[in-house]
Amino acid sequence: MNTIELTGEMFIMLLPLVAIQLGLTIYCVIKIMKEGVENLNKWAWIAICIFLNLIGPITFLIVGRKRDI
Amino acid sequence: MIEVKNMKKSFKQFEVLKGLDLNVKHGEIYGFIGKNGAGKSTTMNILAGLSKPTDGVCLVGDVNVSNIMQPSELDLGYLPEDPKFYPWFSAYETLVYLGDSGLERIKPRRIHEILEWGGLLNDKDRRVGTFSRGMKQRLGICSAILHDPSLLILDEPSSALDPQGRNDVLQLIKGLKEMGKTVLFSSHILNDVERVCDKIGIIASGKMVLEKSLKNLEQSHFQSVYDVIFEDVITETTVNCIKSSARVLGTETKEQVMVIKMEEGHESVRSLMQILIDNDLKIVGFNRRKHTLEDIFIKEVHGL
Amino acid sequence: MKSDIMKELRMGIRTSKFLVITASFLFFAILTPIMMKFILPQLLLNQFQGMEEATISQMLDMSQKGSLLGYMSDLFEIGTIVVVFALSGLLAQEIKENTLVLPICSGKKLFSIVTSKLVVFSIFLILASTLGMVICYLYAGVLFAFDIELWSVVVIGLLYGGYMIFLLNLVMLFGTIIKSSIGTGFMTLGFSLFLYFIGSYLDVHMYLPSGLLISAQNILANQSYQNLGVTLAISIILVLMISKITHMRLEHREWNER
Repeated sequence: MNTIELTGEMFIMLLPLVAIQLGLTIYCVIKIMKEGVENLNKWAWIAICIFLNLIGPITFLIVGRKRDI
Repeated sequence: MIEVKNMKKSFKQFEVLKGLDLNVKHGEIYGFIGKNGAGKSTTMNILAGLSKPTDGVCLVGDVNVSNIMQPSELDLGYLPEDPKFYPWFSAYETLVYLGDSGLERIKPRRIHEILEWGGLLNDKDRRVGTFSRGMKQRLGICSAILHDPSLLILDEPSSALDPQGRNDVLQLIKGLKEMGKTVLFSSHILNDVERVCDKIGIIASGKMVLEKSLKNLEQSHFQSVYDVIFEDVITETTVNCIKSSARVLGTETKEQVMVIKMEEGHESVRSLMQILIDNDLKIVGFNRRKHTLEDIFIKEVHGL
Repeated sequence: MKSDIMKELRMGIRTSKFLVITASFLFFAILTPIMMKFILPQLLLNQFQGMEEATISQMLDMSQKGSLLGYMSDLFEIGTIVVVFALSGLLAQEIKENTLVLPICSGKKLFSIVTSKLVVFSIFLILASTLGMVICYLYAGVLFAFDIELWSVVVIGLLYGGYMIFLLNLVMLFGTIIKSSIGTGFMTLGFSLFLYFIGSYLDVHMYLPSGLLISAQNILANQSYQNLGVTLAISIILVLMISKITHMRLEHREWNER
């Protein structure tokens, strides 16, 4: 037993968490594509938003969003 | 409308304004010109009530700027050099927000009228963040006239814009004059000033070096130098003929054109014409040279 | 005043400030009980082979109370950082970018501008932290068992919201001193942590806003409301004083200088 088991109960409980995470990521990626970015490269921000749980999208929304829009 | 006497302003040790005088009468369009760093923006900031003079009297309307608590106590509209709006507001929302001063609320109909006047009606729901520099400048002028002030202070309204944008802004300023507003605007583009102003003031290193109406300025800055174009190529005899006159100081010839320098004075036009007629010379053109605003500006700023 | 409040609401929505704070509060409210129930015990089991489940439940407070305590420390460690940096530009950016010049010239009162910011974001922070607390309570209740009264959880949420309001006021005050929003954020965090450690070191939390956090823990741990009145009074006075200083600093500014 070296991995964490994914039980059905756990899956249901995890759903809201996944929803928040996924929602934020999609929201941020749309924003990046539509409005452009600041401080970093577009693709770097997309990578950050997808691969860093929660912290990625939040960092983007605080420091990466284009000021002028 | 504006009366400034011996106004001084220092930032820490650095004295920006060293006793500035400025007078703007009701209904005038006043062009305030000077080099960058001469103190234009500082002056306008004080006039708009955003900062206080260190010394001197500064009356706007009949209110002394030193005595006010808030800029809005002055009956004026102010456009800063680089007007900053909230990028997440639309143009319409910006004017609605700025139009609500707590005491009065500007009606949506008037906001629509103003946006139409400023040529922004089609873009009223766009976020200001997506606006071009010229559109922001126009929105700035719209917000300056929002509360229908009798005086407008515009800081470099046309300087940072492309020719089209500049033209739009100058048209708006002309429109302001038709509304009967008094306008004080600064610029370092002299051509713009010449196009719309009634009166100009030149500021150099914190002092007003020249303040005159544009009409007077043009008259007093006529030179006594004339370009006369003859029908035929100028001969030696013609030159001698003209040179013999006592009032002619010198001539210079190039094919059909002769540049004649006369003695200074109002009569120089008449006496030159007299000479030309007396000698029965056939001329096709006659032009009196004039200092351009640029010449005057350079002379006033550097010649002191 | 109404238009200023509308402006702050629009700003909060359109610059996703509300979204960032709500999302991170809710995320941890859900994550903490799940960590408690599933992930931490399994991690421990993997770490120490052959350990019995009973021992683990002794090490971890595997209950609704334990989850809430975990969530509270998450809020203090990560929530405050998110709040401070999301709101750090509230005044600093307006001053730096001269966006206040036109409103002031149009007759807006500084008092009304500052108060609207404080009111809008205070209410939001209170709501967000209470909501986060209640969600965590419900989640942990479903996963373990309901062994705490709801209203004491609401009180805890309000107290945490109160601490966030203190941070909000600090952000506004430092915003009038430091022009960069990131700098304001670090200054606020540094100052609040400094106060917290002073509170721990000298054991004077009850005279500091950080006492709100300690009171919340006391309420949860042993239903004790001791010292809460003093801390609340001091916090309210402090917050009012900070907002007054902020307002005075703004009144004495000269605008639009370069």
